[in-house]
Amino acid sequence: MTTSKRLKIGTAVAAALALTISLTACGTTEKSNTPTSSGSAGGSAAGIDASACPDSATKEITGDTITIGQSGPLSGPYAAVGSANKTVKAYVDSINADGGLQTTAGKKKLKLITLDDQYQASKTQSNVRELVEQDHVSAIVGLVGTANGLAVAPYLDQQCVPSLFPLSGSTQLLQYKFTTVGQTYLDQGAVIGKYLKQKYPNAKVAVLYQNDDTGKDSLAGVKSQIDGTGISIVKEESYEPTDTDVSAQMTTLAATKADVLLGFAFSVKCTQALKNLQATSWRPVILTDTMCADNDINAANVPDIATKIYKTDANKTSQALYGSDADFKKFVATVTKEGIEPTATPVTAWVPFELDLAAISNAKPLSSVGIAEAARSLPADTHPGLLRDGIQISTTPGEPAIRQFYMDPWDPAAKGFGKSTEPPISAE
Amino acid sequence: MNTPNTRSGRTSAGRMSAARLLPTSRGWRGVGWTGMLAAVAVAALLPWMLSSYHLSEASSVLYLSLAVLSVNLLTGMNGQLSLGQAAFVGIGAYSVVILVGDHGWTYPQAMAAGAVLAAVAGIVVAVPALRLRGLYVALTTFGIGLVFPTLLQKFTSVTGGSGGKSLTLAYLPPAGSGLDQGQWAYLVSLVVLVVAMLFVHLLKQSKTGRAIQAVRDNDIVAEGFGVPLARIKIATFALSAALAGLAGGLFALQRQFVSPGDLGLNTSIEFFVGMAIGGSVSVPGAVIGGLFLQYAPDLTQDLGITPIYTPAVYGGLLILIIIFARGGAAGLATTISQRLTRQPHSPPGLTADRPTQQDEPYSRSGIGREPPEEVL
Amino acid sequence: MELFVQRVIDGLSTGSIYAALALAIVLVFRATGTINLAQGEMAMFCCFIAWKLTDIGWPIVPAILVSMAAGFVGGAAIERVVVRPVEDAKDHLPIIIVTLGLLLAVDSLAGGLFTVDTERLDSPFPHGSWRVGGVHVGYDSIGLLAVIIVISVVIWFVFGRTRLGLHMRASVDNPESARLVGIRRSSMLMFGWGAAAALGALAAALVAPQTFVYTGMLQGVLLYAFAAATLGGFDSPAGAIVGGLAVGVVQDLVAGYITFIGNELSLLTALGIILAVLMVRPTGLFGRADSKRL
Repeated sequence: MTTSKRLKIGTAVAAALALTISLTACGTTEKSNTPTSSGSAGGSAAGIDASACPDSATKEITGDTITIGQSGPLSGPYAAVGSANKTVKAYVDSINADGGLQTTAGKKKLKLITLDDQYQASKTQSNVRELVEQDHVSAIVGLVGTANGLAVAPYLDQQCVPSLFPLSGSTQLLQYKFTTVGQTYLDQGAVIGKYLKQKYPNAKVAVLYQNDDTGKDSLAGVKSQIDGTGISIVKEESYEPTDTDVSAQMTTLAATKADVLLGFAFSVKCTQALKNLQATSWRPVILTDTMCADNDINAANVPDIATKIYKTDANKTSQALYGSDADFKKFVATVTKEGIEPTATPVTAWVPFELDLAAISNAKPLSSVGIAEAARSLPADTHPGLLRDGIQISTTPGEPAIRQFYMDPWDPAAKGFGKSTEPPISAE
Repeated sequence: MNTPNTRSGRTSAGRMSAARLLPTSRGWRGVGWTGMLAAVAVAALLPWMLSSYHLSEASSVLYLSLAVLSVNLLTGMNGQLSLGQAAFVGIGAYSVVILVGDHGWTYPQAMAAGAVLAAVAGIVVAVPALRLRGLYVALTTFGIGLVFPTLLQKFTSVTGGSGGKSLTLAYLPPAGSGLDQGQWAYLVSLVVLVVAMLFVHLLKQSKTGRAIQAVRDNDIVAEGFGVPLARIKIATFALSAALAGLAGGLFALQRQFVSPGDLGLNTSIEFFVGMAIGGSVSVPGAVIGGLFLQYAPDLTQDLGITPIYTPAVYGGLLILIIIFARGGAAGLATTISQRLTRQPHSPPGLTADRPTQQDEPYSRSGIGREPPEEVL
Repeated sequence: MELFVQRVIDGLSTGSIYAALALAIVLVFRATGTINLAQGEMAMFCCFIAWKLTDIGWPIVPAILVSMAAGFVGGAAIERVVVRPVEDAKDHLPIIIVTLGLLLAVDSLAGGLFTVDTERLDSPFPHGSWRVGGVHVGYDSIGLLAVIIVISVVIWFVFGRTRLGLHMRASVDNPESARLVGIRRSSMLMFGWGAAAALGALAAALVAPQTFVYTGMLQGVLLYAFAAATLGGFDSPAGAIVGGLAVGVVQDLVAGYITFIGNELSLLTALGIILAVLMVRPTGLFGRADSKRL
């Protein structure tokens, strides 16, 4: 048989196979596989119905070690964010050095397994599967990235293993019973919106935002508050993370001569935006959220604008302001021991992990399901050490834990954000 | 092509005895086919041999192999450098997630549609590439690999933007089959991959396949011999894109989630590395490439290499393969078997400082050109 | 009107960044006949060297000069060790694949050996902007443009008017004859890669005040730089500059005035430019007509 004949026969076979598979009812039925453990009725006060959970998730942890796992970008283009995972490891090491974590079942050591996912959601899925099915972790901590967190949330709901306070500010995670969210960009935007209503009730507002869920959520949060008021958004300019700079956007925004600039720009882009702003003659009030950190603004070197920048923050991030605070000192000591600089990113990893520890400590019984329920309704007096005084944790299941933020003014003399003199604003 | 078998009588004594123990070249082909069938049989039994976690890893190997196969076809066999293959995979994956999730299509329908859409995209890319030389095709596909994620974020309402898109409807096994969802997903992927591999293999051996490779080797001469250059190049691009789209469909089927972060330039380069490792013209080599892509990252971590250097290992491997072993794993296997069964097929000395034409994959004279006797 | 002028100026400013990297790409092409997909990463690596030196107290200009020297040595070494074994005057595809591997490796090594964080690098030019009417342009942008124009002239001079340039051109255009005449092609290639890497190092250092120093600093720039080189003609240094500025201006004006494309699809605009040029006039605005080696 010649090869062309073989090819023809082969093609025919392939086509036939394909046709058969698609036309017959051979396994074509789909049903929703949303996990039953997220059913509405019944279950504990935290809203989890554990009846469909595998035994491994409801069984109490025996032995003196609790195994937890994390997956994050330890390599690849986002490796800088991987310092969050290193921070968690440093924290775990310090806890074990102090003898372990106090839980309702006694003092337990923590065993942390860290895997690299290069910020790719498919790799996060593989890692989380490995952590749950091979390493039998009781909880997943410190997941980095919105897509990454969303990719594994349905699976974790099925397996009844919690994903404790992943590093993502997305509201889409809130629908999953076993995933708890620390704080969202939507809430930060709402706080900024309320601040606008308080201070600049008839302002014209221009917006620069990163074109992904972090920036878009921030903007949506603002809009939810200023709808129907005298505040109007005159121009919105987005940028892609792959853009070289934001000069084009800033030029367009500067032309509006608006009263307020909302800057939802991330690190380097924040610096570039401010530098561009300095070069123009436009001098708006600038409101920003946690996307823009102290050293981003310092790097911009913008003396003219520096008196009018305000930022949402719930955490203690500044060495200058909190250097003598006991919890902050402990944070600095722990991370510098592992070679991590105590900047904003480690703080954003530290606070959620404190919440994770609170969930594990308060879990009754000490099982995956127990930890998940505890995470969803933390005791009202839970207060992470690096969370600022005056901020209350929200204990409503299905809502972010931190919903109140201060609006801190930039202090040029101190080269950092100062402490707001007003009470925190709640997003609720 | 040489049939060096006839020269086996002139081998040295030592090699002669080895030659007599091993099959002839035609016999190798028989061994190859039996081996393949055995491998497929073992693969089909894996759902009952592996835990669900390991099976999910094996499932990933299947769609990775299909993606690498699509690169083999386009770059290895046809010489068009494809550095943006993740875009076609993405079209297939998003098609399934959107059509099944939002529009009520069935999985097979959505996968077929994804393959067709990817093929159309392939044609759109191929037509301009016709007029360009290799360098520029590389540049253009490089650009496509970079641009695709931004396109996804432009149409956030449809694609879910940077946060990705979840698919809650699973592809369930037929009632009464006794399979669970993971096993079913694996078997469907296996069938798709095996059919695709068979097709590409037969294509390679057919007249069309030879035309495809002739275009790679020397398109001017091929045209002189009546090969319809444009049609062949476009058709190969379309077919390669369709295979990549199918791989994307399998990705969506297995993972029920897709996001732009998985479909960027790094992923395209990874498929390329997989192609190089397995052997750019080898159909079974695609599976070796898939195995590498799935298991190599774990290996590097186990070896104690700090994670930050994992891409450096990939890059280093790619460079080493191009320099020392262009035929990849399949090429190495072929060389070893050739050494065992017969003399080297070119007299020493004449080509002292350069490999012969036949051994020169990736060159103008052939990216991964097929060695004289295909072992696998 | 003022807005339009400012947009054009912004475009020229961003375009200078594209042109800087494009010059390095063009230099590699002129000297070796191939394109280096890892050009941005190599430049970034050298920029980190400059940063490291300023971090331990060196002033900026010597730091940049040392990074350029390191780039030259590194580029020549890469050519000798990694590119030479796959060198083929007639076929460049294996080299492109090798540069792919370099892209991965150099990026990863930079992150591991230096840092994954973002760092600052000072500009050798004065702070601030020049203001005329309602428009402003940064001094570092003006400085960058001036430097790359000078470099472009130097490249044109070396290739067009010196013996070295003649040898390099011969090695690429007619390797066999060049060898017969005694030109050592291998040395020419090493020199070409080294010079391009040094140029890349300079480009990276000069754009660092705007983009800051991190492993991804030039990743966003790479496609625009290739668009610039394609538009200008891969073998023309002047073309790289004109191309870069044009790409920058087009990008800004399209983003500003065509809202559908806006800022979201500017990468697509760059790809579109590449395709359009290759379809209509493959040699680019200033490239030579006889590009049969392509």
